[in-house]
Amino acid sequence: MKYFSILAVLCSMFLATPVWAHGDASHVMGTVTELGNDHVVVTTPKGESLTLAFHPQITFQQNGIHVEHARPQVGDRLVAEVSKNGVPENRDWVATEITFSTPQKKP
Amino acid sequence: MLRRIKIFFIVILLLLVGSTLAALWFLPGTFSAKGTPPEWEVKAARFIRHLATPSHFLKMANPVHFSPENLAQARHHFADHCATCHANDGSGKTHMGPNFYPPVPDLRDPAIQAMADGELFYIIHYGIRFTGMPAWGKGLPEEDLDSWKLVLLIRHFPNITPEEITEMKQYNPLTREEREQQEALDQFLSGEDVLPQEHHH
Repeated sequence: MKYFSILAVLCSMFLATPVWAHGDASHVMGTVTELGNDHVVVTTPKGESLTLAFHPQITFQQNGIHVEHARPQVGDRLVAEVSKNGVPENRDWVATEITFSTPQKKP
Repeated sequence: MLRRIKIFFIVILLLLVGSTLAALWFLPGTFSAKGTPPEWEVKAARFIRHLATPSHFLKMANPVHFSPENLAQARHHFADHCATCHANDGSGKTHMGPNFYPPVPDLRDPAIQAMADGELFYIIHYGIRFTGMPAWGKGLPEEDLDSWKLVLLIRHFPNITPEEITEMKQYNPLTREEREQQEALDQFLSGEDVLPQEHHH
């Protein structure tokens, strides 16, 4: 029983590692109001304005497909995976991945 | 004569001791998967892997013909088995993809697209040792039509459409909570009014 308990603790440590690995990341979604070379400003559905700095290894997805050069435009909707690690001055979050799309206008 | 034999064995011994010390000096840290391999290492590894592929595979043509049905089956298979590392669009931009050594390649990349059908099939069926790529093939290679269908999909990746990506998302192995979050984010991106949910990894 003792050995089983030790084994269970060791297994749970290894299984839990991937969850610890990307600790404080979360999502921000909003509509783009401003785009810069190193940041984007969005308005969230709650009306809050947030400035997201681009992480050096940021990736972009347009309509679910990873793109090298395309960037969100003003009016596009985006979902950003963000972190509070290393946030520069005057920025709210650091974005590591941004998925964006141009919503179709409602008739 | 005896003196020469002695010198020979001393030289061998010194070489063994020297190479052991050199290995102990260089080895620590070299099995870490952190970091990105330099360009020369990528080229060398791909060249060696190419040489290690049996020549008759390099000449093989895909026995599965291109059809919407075969492509759909490949998309479902890929979304369920491969997309966790390779991403639905084949870009390799997933949570895990860039953390492998070497990182998961972008299957749309010209270097990958330039590979022969048989070489792509060989990688899927037999995997690649010392990387994260497992051997998916069951049974004889000539009976492994599922892997040949995946080769069709790899050829299609440079032209994959947002609609196909949306369809593939249904087959990704996600928990119920992850799927609900994904659907809420997709609804927001498509222009629907969605209230934000608290979500942390």
